[in-house]
Amino acid sequence: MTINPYFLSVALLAGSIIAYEIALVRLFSIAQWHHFAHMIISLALLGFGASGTAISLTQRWLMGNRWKFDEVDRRFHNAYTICGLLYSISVVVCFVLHQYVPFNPLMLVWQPSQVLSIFVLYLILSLPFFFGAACIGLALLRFAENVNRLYFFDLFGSGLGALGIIVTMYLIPPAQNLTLILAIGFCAVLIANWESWKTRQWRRIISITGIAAAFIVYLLFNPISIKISPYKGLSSTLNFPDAQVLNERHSPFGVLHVVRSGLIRAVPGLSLNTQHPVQPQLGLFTDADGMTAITDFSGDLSKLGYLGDTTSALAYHLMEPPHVLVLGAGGGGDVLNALYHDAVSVDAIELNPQVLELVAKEHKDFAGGIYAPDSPYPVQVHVAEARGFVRATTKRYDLIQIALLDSVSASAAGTHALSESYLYTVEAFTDLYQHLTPGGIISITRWLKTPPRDMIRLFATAVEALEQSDNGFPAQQLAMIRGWRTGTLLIKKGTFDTADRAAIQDFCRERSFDLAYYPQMPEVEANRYNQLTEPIYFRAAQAILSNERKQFYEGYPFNIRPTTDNRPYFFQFLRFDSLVQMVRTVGRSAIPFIEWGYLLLIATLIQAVLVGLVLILIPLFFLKREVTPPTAHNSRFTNWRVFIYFLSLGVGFMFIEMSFIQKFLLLLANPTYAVAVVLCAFLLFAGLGSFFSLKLKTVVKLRQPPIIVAIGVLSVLALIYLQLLPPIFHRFLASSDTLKVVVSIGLIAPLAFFMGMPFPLGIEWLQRHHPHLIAWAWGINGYASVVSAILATCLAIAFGFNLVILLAVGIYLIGGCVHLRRERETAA
Amino acid sequence: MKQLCFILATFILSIAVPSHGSDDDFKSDREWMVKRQINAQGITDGRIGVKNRSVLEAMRRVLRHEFVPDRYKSQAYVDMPLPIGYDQTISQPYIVAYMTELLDPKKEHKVLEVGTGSGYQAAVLAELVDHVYTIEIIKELGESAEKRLKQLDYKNVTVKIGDGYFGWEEHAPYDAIIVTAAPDHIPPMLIHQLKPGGKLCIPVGGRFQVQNLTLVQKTESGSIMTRQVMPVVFVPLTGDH
Repeated sequence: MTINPYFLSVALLAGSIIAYEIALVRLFSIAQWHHFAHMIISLALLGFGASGTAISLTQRWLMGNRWKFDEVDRRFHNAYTICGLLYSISVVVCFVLHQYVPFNPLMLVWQPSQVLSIFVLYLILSLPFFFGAACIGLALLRFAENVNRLYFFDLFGSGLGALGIIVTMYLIPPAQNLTLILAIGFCAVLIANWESWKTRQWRRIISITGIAAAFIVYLLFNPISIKISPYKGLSSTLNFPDAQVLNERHSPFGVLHVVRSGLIRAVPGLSLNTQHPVQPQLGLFTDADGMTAITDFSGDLSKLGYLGDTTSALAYHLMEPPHVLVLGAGGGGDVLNALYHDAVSVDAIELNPQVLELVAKEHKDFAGGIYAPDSPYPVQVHVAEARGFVRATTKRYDLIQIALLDSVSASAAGTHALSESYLYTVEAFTDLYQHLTPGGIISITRWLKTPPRDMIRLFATAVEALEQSDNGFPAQQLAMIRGWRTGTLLIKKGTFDTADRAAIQDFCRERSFDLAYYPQMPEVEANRYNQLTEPIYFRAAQAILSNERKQFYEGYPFNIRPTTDNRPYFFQFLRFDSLVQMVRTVGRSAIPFIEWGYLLLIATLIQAVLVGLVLILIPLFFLKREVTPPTAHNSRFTNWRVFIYFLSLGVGFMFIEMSFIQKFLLLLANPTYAVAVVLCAFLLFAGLGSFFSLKLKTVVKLRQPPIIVAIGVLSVLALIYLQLLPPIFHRFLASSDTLKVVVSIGLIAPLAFFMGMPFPLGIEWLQRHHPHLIAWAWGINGYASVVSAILATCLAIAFGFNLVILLAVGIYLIGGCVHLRRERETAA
Repeated sequence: MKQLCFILATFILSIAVPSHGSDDDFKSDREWMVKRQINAQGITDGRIGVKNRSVLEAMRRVLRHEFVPDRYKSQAYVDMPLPIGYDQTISQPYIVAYMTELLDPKKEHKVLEVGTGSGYQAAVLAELVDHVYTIEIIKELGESAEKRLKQLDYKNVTVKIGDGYFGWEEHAPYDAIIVTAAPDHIPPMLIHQLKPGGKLCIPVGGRFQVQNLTLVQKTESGSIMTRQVMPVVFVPLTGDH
């Protein structure tokens, strides 16, 4: 069997496009902040849809006279080559150019002129997606009769691209991935020019190779640099006169910088009364922000006295020297806190292996060897995701500490609003609770916000988890304190007795921390040292524990309801109803209530829908003037049915893919690998589904059209998975990583297989009846994918992932019905 | 619609208004700034305005445009933070005035400022108190602030280049301390260098973000209390200009 070189070229391009998208998210997360990355890249992806519009508008010229094959081939070939070259070049050039746009996202609220900058960014960054997708769209138009094979190569390439970029992120610095992507793009163009090799059109080959070589050589000697926002933590720290970057590491988990400066001192929640000097520290930054400190530890525990003056030290005052589990060990602050309080053993869990390596090896002497394999201390480090580790372990702990690892400014700005966290959910608390020894304590520390949010939601989540557990009695099992910057919540497996209460009171009094809740606490004890206008935390705790809980949740200006695995957005507090009301009543004073992450998501959705609709509708206007092919069925509804069908495929596919990535996070634990495995499996098996789609009719005798069968099967599978996945995950949670990956792929394969069929079957149908609509359909699918990715996050935040899956099934079925009607009308 | 018009107007102004030529040209800007952005009587958008007359007077007197880079002079009196180089910003006029009022400055007071920046906050304080000691870690910023303050004839401000974490023991104790950048904890030495009855003010929140103010008070008995000053808001997207 010979493979069409264009198909191989499409596979390479598709792989490099998805790699470019993932690399761009990483690069933006380093240079700016994650939520801005999400918005800018989502909008830039509209370039995908725009390519469909452009091809629709130019297809008459492109395809020319259908009977003059040579002319069609020449025009197609030239257009493909030019778009491919422009794609490869723009991958690097547009990234470099965008760094010169004077854009400071933090100034958006202050300087309206920043809006112009953001539009320029959209335009610049959408160009690579436009040219890359144009190549695939052109191939779709030219080889519509083989769409099943072409789409297979497209999806297969995308799957490998997603996997490949995760691997290369370990091997080469983030910005240099762009050089690799550029090189792959040029390779794709050269493969598409296979005929030129065979026919010895050396001038063309030399030109392409020359351009590629010039770019690659230049970039090898002049590596691309990332301009990090001056307002990120790393930039500020590097302004210190003695600041020096000691180490730099990169991986899909982020870019790490270790900085030395005598001015680095990080002790979240340190009491104002402390008499202990803070030890010298190194700053460990992830993605140029979110600093965690590596502390100078000589082995003299008495020098760590200041750690005992933080709110997170409370639990140690309520128990004998404990067996401790630290979730999110980072630079080791909480591990040292445990050692300072004579912990019998410490299991330190950290997701990023490079963090552990830096502390254990590079800075072993400075950190006192706390993470080293030959550590003189009872510390054992584990590279794992917190929740996954807890579910897999059979050990029980006296104290489980959830560390405070996110930066305070990121927390205050609501930049985590779009990030899922499976550590702060009802189910997570239940898991942790089950791993406590009798009398054991879970201790969770968070930054305080004004007005209060995080700690109240933590309290509500803990109450619900305790209510769901056997013999749970939340009112007797919770305690909460706060300083001026941090708060700590304790959940005890057992009740806080009189001695505990006295210890809590003493601990807080000595350090000027405020009591927010403990069993039978009188209101008069609240709000003494760090005064708010009223004892909000105390009253919130009382309300949550009372029968008025529902009214309290409804009346509170933020969404502080408990978070669950289905809606794991702990950091999303925004309530639109209260926001609108507040803006009406207090005007500008409502601004602190705004969390930019979620609002930017909504802004992104609105922009994407508007731009998408305009670009989809433009071709319709021109298509009306197209000469209708003789085979076409003349229905005035045809365009709209094509629109709805391909829209539903794009939306349905993305909704299911995104929801299942989230669902499988629970099983695969590690978010980076989960995304890689699930995304890759979905794309590869959808590719296989596409490959076999046209054979479906011949292999199996069907009463209904193949599209209807495919949509029917995938809908049933999605609904079954909704019920079956939780028990299956539970069964395999403690299994080895390899088995978990195999189980995941096994579960995804059949669903993805059938999800890969409706698109090529639809294109094949168009090829037979309305070939002039193929490019338009490609554009619609592109827009739908972009918009639905944003919409899925909005819906998951508001209603949970289960609803997103149900909606996906409904949307697929609408697409199926539209096709059925179309098919019957055509037959009639 | 009103908001849209304002945004458009601000945008056009921000790119079209030329730099002013002399201090006199800015006098009306300063008056307008105090009247509409800071003074409790002029603020109509729900913010807590400044009532202390001497603070308002100081804000009228200090030539803010001298403390911002030339390219931002036209925006010096707009209620927004501005970049001053070295990745630092000059706080918006409202927050400077509000923090100053929170410290309740008196003529006989000795004040420590941690984070000189451009020197604007020190100048405002210098109008109100006996002496201001200010520390800046970035040498270039500190030196240019010192030069600027000298040129503007602020004789009661002393600038030091160094680490503010340990305060300035030599001149301690202070009646008030102002920390212009928010760390994750308040340095213990600063608390030690505060007089009984003294106040320390610290903004919490990143640059260009909404900042909440925390006021730390050392009682006569030496115990420490903090007060969260409920959301201070200063985003100029709405309002009548």
